[in-house]
Amino acid sequence: MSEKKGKEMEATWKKYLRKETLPLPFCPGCGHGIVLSAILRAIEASGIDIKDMLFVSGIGCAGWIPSPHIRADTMHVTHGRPIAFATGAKLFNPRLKVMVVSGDGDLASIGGNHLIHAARRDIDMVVVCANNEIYGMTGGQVSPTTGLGVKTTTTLAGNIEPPLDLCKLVEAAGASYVARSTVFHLEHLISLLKRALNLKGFSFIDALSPCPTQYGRRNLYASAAEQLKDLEKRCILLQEASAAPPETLKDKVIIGEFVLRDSKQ
Amino acid sequence: MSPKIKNLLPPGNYFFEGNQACAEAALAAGCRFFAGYPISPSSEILERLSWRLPEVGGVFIQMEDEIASIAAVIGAVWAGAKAMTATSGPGLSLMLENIGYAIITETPCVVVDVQRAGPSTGQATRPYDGDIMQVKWGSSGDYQIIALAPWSVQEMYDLTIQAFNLAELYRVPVFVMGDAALAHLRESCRIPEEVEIVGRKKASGVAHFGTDELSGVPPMASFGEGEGLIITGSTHDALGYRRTQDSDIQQKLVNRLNEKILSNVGEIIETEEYFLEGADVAVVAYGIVARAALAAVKEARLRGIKIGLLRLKTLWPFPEEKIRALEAKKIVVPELNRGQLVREVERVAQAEVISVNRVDGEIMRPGEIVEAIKGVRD
Amino acid sequence: MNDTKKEIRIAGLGGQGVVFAAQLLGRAGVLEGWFVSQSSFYGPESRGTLCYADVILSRESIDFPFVTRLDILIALSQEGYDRFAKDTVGCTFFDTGRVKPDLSLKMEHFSVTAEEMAQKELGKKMAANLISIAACCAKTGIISKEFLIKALQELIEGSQRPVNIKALELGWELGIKAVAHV
Ligand SMILES: Cc1ncc(C[n+]2csc(CCOP(=O)(O)OP(=O)(O)O)c2C)c(N)n1
Repeated sequence: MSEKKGKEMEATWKKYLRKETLPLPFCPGCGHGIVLSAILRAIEASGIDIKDMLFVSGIGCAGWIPSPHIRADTMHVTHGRPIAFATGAKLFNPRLKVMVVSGDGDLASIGGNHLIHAARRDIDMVVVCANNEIYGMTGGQVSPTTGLGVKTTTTLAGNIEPPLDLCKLVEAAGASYVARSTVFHLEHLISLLKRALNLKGFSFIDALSPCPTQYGRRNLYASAAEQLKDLEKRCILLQEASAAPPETLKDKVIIGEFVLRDSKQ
Repeated sequence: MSPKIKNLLPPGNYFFEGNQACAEAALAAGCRFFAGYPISPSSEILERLSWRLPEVGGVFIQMEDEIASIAAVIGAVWAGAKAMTATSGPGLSLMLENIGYAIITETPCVVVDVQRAGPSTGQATRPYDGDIMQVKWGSSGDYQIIALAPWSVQEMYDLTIQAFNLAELYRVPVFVMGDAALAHLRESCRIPEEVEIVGRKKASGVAHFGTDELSGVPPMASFGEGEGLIITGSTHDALGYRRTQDSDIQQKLVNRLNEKILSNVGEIIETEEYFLEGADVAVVAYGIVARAALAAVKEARLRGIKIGLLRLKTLWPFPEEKIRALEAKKIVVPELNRGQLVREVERVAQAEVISVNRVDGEIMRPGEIVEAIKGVRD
Repeated sequence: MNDTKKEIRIAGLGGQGVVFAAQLLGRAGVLEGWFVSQSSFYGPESRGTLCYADVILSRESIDFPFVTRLDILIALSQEGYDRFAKDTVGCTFFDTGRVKPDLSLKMEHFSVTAEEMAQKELGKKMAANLISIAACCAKTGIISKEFLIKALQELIEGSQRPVNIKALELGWELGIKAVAHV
């Protein structure tokens, strides 16, 4: 990172974060801090006044991404329910710019039904799933997005349940905007967030964010850095994937924009 | 002093079902957000508000389940609304975790529980006092809520308005405990020209989650007012910051959540007394059963029995002092359950307590209570 | 019959407009200045099974809002009659074409050709419920015709209104002329 960019980033931190809540509570190598910085840089680039924003998050490490760090209204709610709380707030005060940030366990497992129905209703909000493919906070149990064969504290011999593709789910439910990126592809992730912030309707971004403590350790990654870099190997851009022979995509995670429908019209 | 605001319906004598009266009362009380999920015998509240709320500039949404309904209500309250949901026992069970969230975040809101026979799906259209303990103890932790028990269609109206006012005064969820019989009973209901409304106590730049007084109720702001609200269901300090390892803060918060209700029982609790002076026997009753109890007491008095009625309009916080003050030698507690509130009566009563029950999903009739009274006297 | 309190039950089959008739009677009662409680009872399937609805009119506020002493039965079907006639202490109004009364029961029986009239005069069998309650009100004097019609105007709007008012008027005429069977 250039020195200039570092300075810029620091300014962003100060403007958007409550200093007294720092340092962030995440483990070394956790992707959730990068998700936070991507969100703030996207807001900065979009010119949105942080005072107009409401962040709603559930329970889990990911629920701590906005709360209480971001200098805006934040609501840290019960496990799985942030979208439902956010729906009430947004409907009553449509001027609020609402963003939900939560984990894969929170949004896809216990809160899966709210995700489906908010997408179906196309409620105007941005939902960011900080997807570490595991239950981080409770000690590394299997989640609905954990891959086949992955070792967790409840799948010692490897996960035998196929994972859920959240983007496909939300697309089928009717969301206006559906995209995926990772914390490794930071600029890409920021560009997706920026796009989502400027759209009306239900936007969903699946943001892969590694968990070295609970996931990396049990699945033979040498280091957090290696786990992060592995995201590069695992992912392929949608444009490239469209051109590639299907057999080569078997174990690939496709990143990019899957649905882009401006429901302003 | 609370301002009086002009009612939305022209004043007059209406002929309402309990559920209709409740929905209209919510509007009169300033409710502008309702989220709910259909369940007998409460659905008429949801149905009526689906068209009435838009008429008065409010927001209605049918959510995907009861968990989402109470969540949306709490979200809307923090966005500035007065808000309500309505359900029955099984739906209340689903709401309880988020009701705990409303309690710890001190979110004023109203939950109407139109009770039906249970457990579980039970008998969806039959009256029951099945949730008396569920509302008080159903969520986790240590807390107080307020629960009111209307006995007429008029009170489905009056107590729903009061529920909104109490919710604002104490920043607490308030329950209106109806039942299947009252929900669908039609009676005359007087709509007054003006109703007394308690507004939200607001302040900016202050702590929204604590005061130094043990029993204090802090003011609250809304989203979008530039306050940078920090709201969490975790234990938090006065500013809202999570303090999940601090024992002092845990203790201070829990004590205040309880004491802000318990040290104001004199302001909160309402009861009604009939013929209690010099009575040997007192009936303690609430809800629709109290109607049968009053008829029974009048009949028993015609037969020369010295008997009176204490009717509880407030169930929680429990009117302990009123029970303790009863001079009767025997206390009869009729309920549509195997004896729920009677346990509280037993806990504080100075007299022998007799529980009278009906659990077949039918309404309790005056004759049954008269029989019980005669038995007690002999 | 108790002059300060009347407990009335309308009994018939789901689909006969039992609940609506009771609501109308109740609303008219409020307009007339009575204290009123009205409740309805129906099985899980509403069409074709026994359904009944009660109206209590009282000069004083009503303690217990459900029927304890049935003064008047309005029977729109045999099932309704069979179930409740023996509990009735005052009088019964029954639909002539639908109910075979048990005249040995100790109360006044008034026969009302409700469904027949509804079909013949209005081409609308469904209006038998309104004809029956109007006949009951005319005979017993519990509610005046003016308030019955006023209540109906509150409850029914638009094109259906005239034919329903006509039904009340027909019922009223039948009620005035009705004589008790013995
Ligand atoms: C009703 C309820 N059930 C279970 C829990 C325990 N719990 C806390 S966090 C969590 C999982 C979080 O996983 P995820 O949403 O993927 O977030 P992460 O911690 O991985 O970022 C669970 C099950 C809870 N808080 N509430």
